[in-house]
Amino acid sequence: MSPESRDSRGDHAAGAAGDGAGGQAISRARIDRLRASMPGRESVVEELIAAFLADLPRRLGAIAQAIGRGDGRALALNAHALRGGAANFGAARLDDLCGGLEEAGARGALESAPALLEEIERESGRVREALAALHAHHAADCVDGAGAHGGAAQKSSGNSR
Amino acid sequence: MAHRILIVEDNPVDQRLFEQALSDPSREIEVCNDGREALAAFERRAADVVISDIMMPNMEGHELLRELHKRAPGLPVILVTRFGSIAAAVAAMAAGAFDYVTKPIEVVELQTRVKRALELDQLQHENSVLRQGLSGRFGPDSVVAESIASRKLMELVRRVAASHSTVLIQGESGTGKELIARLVHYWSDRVGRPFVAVNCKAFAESVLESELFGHEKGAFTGAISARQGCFERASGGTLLLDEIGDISPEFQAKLLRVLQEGEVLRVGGAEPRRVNVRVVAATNSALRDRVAAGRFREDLYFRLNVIPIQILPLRERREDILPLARHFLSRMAVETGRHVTLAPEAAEMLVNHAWPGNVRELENAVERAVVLARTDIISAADLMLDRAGAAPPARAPAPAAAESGLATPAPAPADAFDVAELRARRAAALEESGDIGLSEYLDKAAAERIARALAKAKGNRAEAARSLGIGRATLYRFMRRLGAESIGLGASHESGEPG
Repeated sequence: MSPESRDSRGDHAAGAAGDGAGGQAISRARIDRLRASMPGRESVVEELIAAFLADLPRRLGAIAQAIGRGDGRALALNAHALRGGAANFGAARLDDLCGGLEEAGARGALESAPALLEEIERESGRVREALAALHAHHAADCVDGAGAHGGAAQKSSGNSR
Repeated sequence: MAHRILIVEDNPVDQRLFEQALSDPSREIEVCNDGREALAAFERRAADVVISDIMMPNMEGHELLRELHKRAPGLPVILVTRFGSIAAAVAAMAAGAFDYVTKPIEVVELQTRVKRALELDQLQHENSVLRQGLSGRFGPDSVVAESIASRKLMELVRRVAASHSTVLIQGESGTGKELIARLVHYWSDRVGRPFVAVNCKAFAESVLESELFGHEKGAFTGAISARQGCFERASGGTLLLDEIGDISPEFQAKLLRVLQEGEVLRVGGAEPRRVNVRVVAATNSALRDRVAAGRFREDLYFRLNVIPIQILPLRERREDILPLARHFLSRMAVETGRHVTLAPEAAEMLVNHAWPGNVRELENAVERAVVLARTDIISAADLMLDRAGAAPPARAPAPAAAESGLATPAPAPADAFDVAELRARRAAALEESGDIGLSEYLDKAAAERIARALAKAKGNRAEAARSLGIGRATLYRFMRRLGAESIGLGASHESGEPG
């Protein structure tokens, strides 16, 4: 499968989190929609965030190793997996950068890969911070709201805007 | 049964998302990290729907799709592509995917597509149920149970079918053990899934293992490819192990292990495969006696004998004889359009006969009588039942009063098969050769008549069947039973004929 450009569903105009020099790291609109699509199980999103944050260092390590070995296939697979996870949170720039790395790996053209990895590591840091903040925020809301997940999700959403 | 969904995805975020989005009490979800793992999971236990990413380590989505369809051609597989990748979506559909979903996952879209795939699976299942139900010979409406013993048996089968327990059917040869096993299957929630019957006595020990458990490529000389065994082929359904009393002690141990573990190990294989099969065992010998004699493992006996079903021989439930005979005649009438009935003395003879071959012998006798009868009324002479097989008069009830209403025999057409002549020839043959049995003789006579009809019709079976007054299906059944050679046809003509 050839890698494509990032999600063009228009999530990023609706809301942003982790704003900084590089723009929006994740999309709150996308995350809110995800949360709303599983009524009664809104906390699943927090589990997804936790799973992403836990996988991120391992995945970045695997990408670095693949570049070191010159293993285009492993590079493409790990970049594909990372962008798949990131896309769920509307992490458009990380998704794009990983797409570039996936394509480079698939073509076996790894010259640009180290520079791309550097950018990916920087962007991953921004995404990690934004998600961690969201995660902590939600956890605090859950404590405040005595575990009323639906209310906490709404409150969290409102606060960030 | 719960729907089983396999999710094949290597990133933990999407794994969790798929799992949560599709979670439902009526579903069982297994997550696999790559195609190879998914294939192993599917082989352990089939799934109703598979959702797979395209790009994965070890085995990619398209290859997994091909491999899955080799094993289960109609299996709905949903492939996951990147949003906006028209080419990947088109390729997925062209490769035979049921549908595709895009990443990032839209939960409602995913749920809708999976629901549709499960509905398709359900429709295929219902279609299969209908097809099985329409095979009227084993359908619930075809059951003849007039005697109290048979009615009780049917009640028991209905209750037993609803459970998932192993069943042991015991009864003399020809009593209908396979029919009962099929009813256990059709009346259970496994209907529409495979029913596989295997006669354990029909295979040499080494072949039986491969037949039941399957083998891997190269497991033995001639194993040019891997092959599923009966346990795997019956996945989700019912497996009848007929003549179970005849398996060796070594094989008993292997079978016991499979029943205990719920896993089979193919010959030459390294990984056991999980199987979801209801086992129904059958035997015409008293298995308890074999256990007492030390010829059958007691632990296996108890494992099989969770629900025992005993079928009485026909001579001990004589009220079933005439209803059964009429049932066979009705079936032939449907096939042939020829409505043949029993003369009162023929009915009496049927009721009085000992039927050592049980229902199968009765069925054969009725079919043969239809072929040999000169008219549409079967007389006692047409039945050609050996007097030696008649039951003692004290045990033989008089024919039912209703039988007296049957029509009397009509005069025979001049060109019809001469039963008197047949009887004379039979007597002569018996005199000439003491070792020829009556059934064999009668079969030869039927074969001769069929051969004549075929010759006259220049091999046209439909025409031959018409001239004999029987349907093509009956003719084929006769030809199968009598053997193509005995009616002057080569074996190659017989292969591939409809049943």
